[in-house]
Amino acid sequence: MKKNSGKRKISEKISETIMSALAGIGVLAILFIFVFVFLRALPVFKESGIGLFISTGFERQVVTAYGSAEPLYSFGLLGLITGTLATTTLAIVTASLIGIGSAVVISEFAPRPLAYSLTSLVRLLASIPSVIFGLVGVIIVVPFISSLFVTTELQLQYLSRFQITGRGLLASVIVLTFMLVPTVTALSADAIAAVPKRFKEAGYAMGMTRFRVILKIILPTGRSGIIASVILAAGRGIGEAIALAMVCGGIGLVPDLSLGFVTLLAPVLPLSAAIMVNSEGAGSQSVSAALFACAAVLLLIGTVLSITARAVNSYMRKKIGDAA
Amino acid sequence: MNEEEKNPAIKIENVNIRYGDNRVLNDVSIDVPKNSIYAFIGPSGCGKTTMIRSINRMNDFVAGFKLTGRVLLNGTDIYTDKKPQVLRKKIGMVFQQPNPLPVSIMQNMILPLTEHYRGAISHFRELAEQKLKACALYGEVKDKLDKPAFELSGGQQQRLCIARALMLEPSVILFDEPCSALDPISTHTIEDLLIELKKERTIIIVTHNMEQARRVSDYTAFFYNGVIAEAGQTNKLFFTPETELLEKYITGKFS
Repeated sequence: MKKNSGKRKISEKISETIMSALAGIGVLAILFIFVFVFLRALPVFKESGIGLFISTGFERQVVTAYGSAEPLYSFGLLGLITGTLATTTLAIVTASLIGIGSAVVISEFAPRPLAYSLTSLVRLLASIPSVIFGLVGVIIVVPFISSLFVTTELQLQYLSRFQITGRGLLASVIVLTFMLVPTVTALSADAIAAVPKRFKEAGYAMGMTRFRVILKIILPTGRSGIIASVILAAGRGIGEAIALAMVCGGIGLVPDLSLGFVTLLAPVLPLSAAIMVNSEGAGSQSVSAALFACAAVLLLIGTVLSITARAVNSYMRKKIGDAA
Repeated sequence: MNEEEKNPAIKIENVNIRYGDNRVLNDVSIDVPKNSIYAFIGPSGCGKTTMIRSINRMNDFVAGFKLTGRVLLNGTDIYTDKKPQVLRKKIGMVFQQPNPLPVSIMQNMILPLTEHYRGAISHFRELAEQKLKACALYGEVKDKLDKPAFELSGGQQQRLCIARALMLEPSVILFDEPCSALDPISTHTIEDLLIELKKERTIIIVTHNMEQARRVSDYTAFFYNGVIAEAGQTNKLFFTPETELLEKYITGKFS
């Protein structure tokens, strides 16, 4: 008996060690990525300084740097950063509304067999490669936008500032929304289905209608899962390159809100799409450093997003107690 | 028959309940007098929980649920109204598992009011404190009213749920095995509370605990296989059961 337990202790120790080693490798890999990316981007950070975050003109600077004999490290990423933030924020807002709404329908209203098949369908949608979304964007969304909103007069009016082609912020947001809805829906549906029945019964027993139970009990109780789904979708949105590169218009303009609706038709260039579009020039030392600077800024945005999400969640948990 | 028995708060008339093709209750008739405690007892699966959940229409959500016969609250058929939520304001319910919501104690208490009425939160808080006092919980929680309700013990959570049910001033409260998840001391506290509550309200309780039914109830119905095998005043039922079945059940010789 004693011997047996001794043996078990040893095997437990071994598996524990292996697991911590594997976890350690994971952490090291992430650290390595951060260090590597920031080191490669360092010349750009040094040379551009704060200008990296407050000046524009990235596409032109890349072309100049590529053609120049001397390495040029001065770049301005403001247009790309705002492009990433604008596309992701707008897409996340619309995708959250649609996704959480669909999740409520799937988990609360649909009869069980239908809910089951809808869930499988949504999961399938979540795994569609993004290049397909980009293709649909180019073939359907962009022509649709240009036939609906783009006229020759409008194009002439703004010709001195940018070209209106149908590719731009609106097309990017629509394509990105389609990509993010399945992620939000699938994970939120799980979170909503996990809300204990006894909480819903508490609501019904105090005379709430179904709609009020959803609004006051199901959504607040499932919020940490729902927030997680939105964060995950935001992460995917920030990192999305191919689909956006196909429909964004490829020019890193800072969205000018004074233009009103035309802002949505103006071209944008998010960071990840910029990396992809310019990757052919990565043979040049300075272009490569510029792309790594884009990557570093992307990593930063992602890190800030993840930390904020954690902070929000733990704040809410502290304030109203842990559900379930 | 005394005056109160003539005008029952709840009158169940020839009720049959089916879930799809599965008949759960057959021809159940019960009169629950005002200001009394009526206990439903019987072995698991006999239909007593189905019956109590049909009195505030919680079974409306169950697919295939079909009720024939009538359930009357103060003489009005509760199944004629299109909106069960109006009924559920008048008939409170306390469940087997304490179910405070994952918010603070005070938010749990005032939610029923903010949901149905407009008014100053400070006024709602006062009313909530009154109800917590009525449920002998105020002294234990007065310093942590804005702390999460989950920090309370199981017995305290259940008393919170009772206090919350009182917020809408229901004339009838349904208790579905309210003590089955609690320790003996909490159980006694709640039993005392039930006796206190019946002064102003009518109470129906489902219980598996024979002693509890004997201690707190005025009337008892013994459910068996979807019919009422025996019903009447608790004293009579427990001391001189008419059926052999009930005698076996209350003495624990049931197989």
